[in-house]
Amino acid sequence: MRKGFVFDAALCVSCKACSAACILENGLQPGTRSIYTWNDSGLPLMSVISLSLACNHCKKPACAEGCPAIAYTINSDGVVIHHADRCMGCGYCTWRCPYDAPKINEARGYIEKCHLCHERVAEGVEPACVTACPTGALRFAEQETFEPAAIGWFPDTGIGPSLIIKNADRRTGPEIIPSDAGFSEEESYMVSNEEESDGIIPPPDRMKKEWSLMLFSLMVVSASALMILSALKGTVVSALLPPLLLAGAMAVSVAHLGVPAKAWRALLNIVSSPLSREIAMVGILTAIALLNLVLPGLIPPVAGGIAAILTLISIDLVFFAADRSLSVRLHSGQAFFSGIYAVSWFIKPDYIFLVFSMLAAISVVMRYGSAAGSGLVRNLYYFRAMTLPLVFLLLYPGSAVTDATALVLFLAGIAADRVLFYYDFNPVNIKETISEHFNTEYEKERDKQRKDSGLP
Amino acid sequence: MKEHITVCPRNCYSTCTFRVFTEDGRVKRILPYEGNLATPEGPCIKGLSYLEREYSPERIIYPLRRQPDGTFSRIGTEEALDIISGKLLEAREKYGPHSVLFYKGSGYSGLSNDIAGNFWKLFGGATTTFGNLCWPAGLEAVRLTLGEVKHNVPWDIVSASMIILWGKNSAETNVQEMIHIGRARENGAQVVVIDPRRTPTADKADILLRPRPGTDAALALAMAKVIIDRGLADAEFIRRYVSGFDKFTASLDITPEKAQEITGIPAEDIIRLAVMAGEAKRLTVVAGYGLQRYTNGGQTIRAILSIPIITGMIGKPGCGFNFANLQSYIFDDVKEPLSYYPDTEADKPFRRAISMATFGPDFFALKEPGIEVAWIERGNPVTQLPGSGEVIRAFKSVAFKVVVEQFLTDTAAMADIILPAKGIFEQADVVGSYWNPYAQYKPAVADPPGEVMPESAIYRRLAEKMGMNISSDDAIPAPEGYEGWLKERISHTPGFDPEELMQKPVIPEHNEHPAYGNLKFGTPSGKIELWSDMALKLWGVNPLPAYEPPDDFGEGDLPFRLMTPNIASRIHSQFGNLEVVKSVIEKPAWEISVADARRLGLKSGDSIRVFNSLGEVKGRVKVTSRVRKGSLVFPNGIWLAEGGGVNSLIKPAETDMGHGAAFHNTRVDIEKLPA
Repeated sequence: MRKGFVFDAALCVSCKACSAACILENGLQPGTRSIYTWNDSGLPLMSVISLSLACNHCKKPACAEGCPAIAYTINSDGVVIHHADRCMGCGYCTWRCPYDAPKINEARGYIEKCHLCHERVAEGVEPACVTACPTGALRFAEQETFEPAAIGWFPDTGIGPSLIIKNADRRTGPEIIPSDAGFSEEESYMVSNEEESDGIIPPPDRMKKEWSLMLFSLMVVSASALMILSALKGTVVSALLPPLLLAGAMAVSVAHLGVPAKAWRALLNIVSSPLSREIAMVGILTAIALLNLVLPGLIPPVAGGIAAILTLISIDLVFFAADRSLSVRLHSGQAFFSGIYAVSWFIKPDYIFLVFSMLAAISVVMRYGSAAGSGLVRNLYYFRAMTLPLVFLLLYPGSAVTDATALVLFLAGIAADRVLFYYDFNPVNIKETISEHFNTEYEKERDKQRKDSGLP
Repeated sequence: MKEHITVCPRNCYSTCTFRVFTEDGRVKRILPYEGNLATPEGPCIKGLSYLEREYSPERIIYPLRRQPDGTFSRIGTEEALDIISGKLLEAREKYGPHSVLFYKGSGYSGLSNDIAGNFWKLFGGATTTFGNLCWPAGLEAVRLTLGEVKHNVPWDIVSASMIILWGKNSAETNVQEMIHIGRARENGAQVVVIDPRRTPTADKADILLRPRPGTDAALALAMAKVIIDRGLADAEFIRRYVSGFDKFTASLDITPEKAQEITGIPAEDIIRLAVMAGEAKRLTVVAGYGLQRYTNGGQTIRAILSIPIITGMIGKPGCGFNFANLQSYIFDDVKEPLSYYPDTEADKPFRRAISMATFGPDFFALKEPGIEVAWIERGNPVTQLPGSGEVIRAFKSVAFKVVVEQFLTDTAAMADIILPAKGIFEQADVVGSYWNPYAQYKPAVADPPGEVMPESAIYRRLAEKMGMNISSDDAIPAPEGYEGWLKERISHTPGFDPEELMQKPVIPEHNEHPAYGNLKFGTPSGKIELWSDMALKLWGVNPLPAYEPPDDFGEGDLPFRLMTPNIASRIHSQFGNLEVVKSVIEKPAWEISVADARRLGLKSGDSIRVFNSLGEVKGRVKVTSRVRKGSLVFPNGIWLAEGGGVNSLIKPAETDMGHGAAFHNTRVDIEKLPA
């Protein structure tokens, strides 16, 4: 029998008792069970929906599959349990879980997550959040299967959440009389439009640690590019730079962990974690680079080149496993493309560079939406877009100065694209799913009512 | 772990029963108790937080004495009681017993509270308060009309075909009622909420009417007029059980059109709602307490109550008027609201009383003697009384103050000596409810921490020190005799088996279901009194339910009506200080409508100054469609130390009847502060 939750949105009044009970019972950080309320500010026309969510103890838990440190176990009841003493705090599970269930505890450095109060359950007592719910909106359930998925719009990336959600699709709220209690009728539509952000759950504070990851991957991509170039040229173009860059990258990646002392655990899950594989590949590449420096000639350059290509692919697979969207797969900022695009500058025939530049340009144009992002993202996007034609213009005069400037711009463009990759990378996230779903519903309802009342 | 059945003794509708598990004298776990049919899913966030509250590092567990620099330091219990008894004896000697103020709030309910009253009687009397901050206008309105204050059991609402939640925000203040309302909805009931705010309760309703604050009586009377004019009244019921119907009908001069002007609700919607109510098979009207905290509060309740009366919805299942259900208040000699009346002649030698609602001005009017010593328990008057500025000045003027408390509240912070108050699991007691029908026994299951003593023990020790006559244990039992005292009290109460009561919640035999089912009413006429001579005689109001605009206290030009509702995370000034509550509840902010915010150029998070002639409060603003244009909303009970203090804007004034406090008449203006 699988164990999980049944949640009835019709009965939830967002009282937070479940969330408080979880804290009191388990000493876990606030938000381990979260109440997501859409339209908390009570915009007219629409209902207010609150969903109390924690871990859904999935049949094929993405967190456990992706965890490089094997910090997760699954007990015989299918309960997904996180073990703090085995966690190095890399946060990869927070990307993999579409329900935002594992959360990093910044103070403690490691991940915390709902464990379905499994010890209580073994005693015959239901989870604390369930016994705490004063309206009976949240129930504990043991059943053979929780499929099909609860509600159509709920994210299910094929991992089989043990959760049933009821009554979360009621679109319209109470009929409000007078309709202008908050504002004039015509104004209400404008208000709804303009101040929509009021009613919407803000997007997650995505990837706070991204600067260190970006630095890590830029260093690995640079080293790999040098080693691929060496393979193509048949001779080591630089013996010193790759080991330096790779050692730096390893240091940065260890430093970004919540519990750096447990970094060694990163290699434990080669079997199913793309992150373990990536770390292993970077390790192998670093060893080759070091050998190239210490014992030149021992490793043929082509071996280093192959290892570098595999490393770049392994980096991309870490991201692809968390965000399966096409836009990420076709992103010119992915590690493999960035690496070979950089190499293409230095090799003949020239049309290889030309073809890669065309591909990059297509990717950049396709991502025009990034231009609508916040200040930094927008500027970075325009910079990246601008470098593409500018590099060609600068190559035209053929002087040493313009050539060198072109090279710098070219590499800076690739780096910018890599940074943009982190912004465009967007794993499925429950908060965004909720707000996107209900915002769409809201807009439909608003347009309908606007039409019905003859407003433009 | 040992399992016990217990009850939450706070000033709250729900009075939840729950199971508590202890180990080595410590509370470890709280689980629901399904046997209480009103609260089968267990307590709310506040009840759960006892796990923190009882063992909070902030809890006061030793007597504290104020130092000259204003800080507190621990003193021994003996020393503290010696100082207190010395001060009490000195004040009584020099100025008489009325120079001592005994102030009790509603923070803890239970039979044990009687011991406090007994102590002060033995002391020779004291100055006390009369009235109540919460609900007396409505209680009196119901008593005048129906003779007694009671209603059907909470789960009866499941069979209603239409529910009007009039100014009641059950989702936040009585969350278990939402279970029963939810079931009623599943059964097809129409749920209408009438509230200026879009509350979480309104989110679950079919229709939300948002009248202007304080105008509910006009809405109700217009509905009554429509019901009568359209022949939807229950003529047979009225003929047999209602007095004053003809005069009531003749007095109805508020047409839907006129009500539209007053309330802001379109006439056509008033008519629609009235017809719905008039045609409903089983109508339950549930009135909240906020709408009676106005100078027209009692009359507002009488006006709303007229709707279930004229439609014949009294005394039947699935029907009724739910304001308060005092049927489990079986141990009180004098029930609310009569117990809120000021000192009668018989009290005079012992008791001198001032009104809670007008505590500040009344305090300063006290002469010969003035107040020399103040004893405050179960309450936080600095936060909760209207007109905080004057209340603070009043307490400052008292030379010696004792506060019995669990935490360093705004009031405790003014004390000279703080005595630690008992936790709810540390002394046995019997608790009634004003919503569910159960009388409940609360066993002593946990060891008190530090030097915490129950108040009964404090009083016993003081009485001994002061040489009071306590030869019989009836008045102030010794600690070892306390449970015997409690059993004795229970055994004298007719209506249930005391042994059973000590095992589980019990519905007293005399509990009437449906309430008023015998259609006999304890009014002077024995009928339901739409016309009440007593209303005129006691309170000088119209003998018929009528609409009077709420008094603006001369500040009608200020643009905002201030509402200070209760919120889910606290009971007035309790619970908000706990870490677990703070970690899951958004910090309170001044809520303002979108329209007003735009007009004033305000955005959520902006700082504002809220002011009127009484004072000013600063805080952050939250723009929301939940608030009506012209309203400003901030929860009551937030400590000054937490950035609250909203009552400093509220004029001390009584409601039209019952000696309640007219909190919501307050008008204010606001000003944006530089960021």
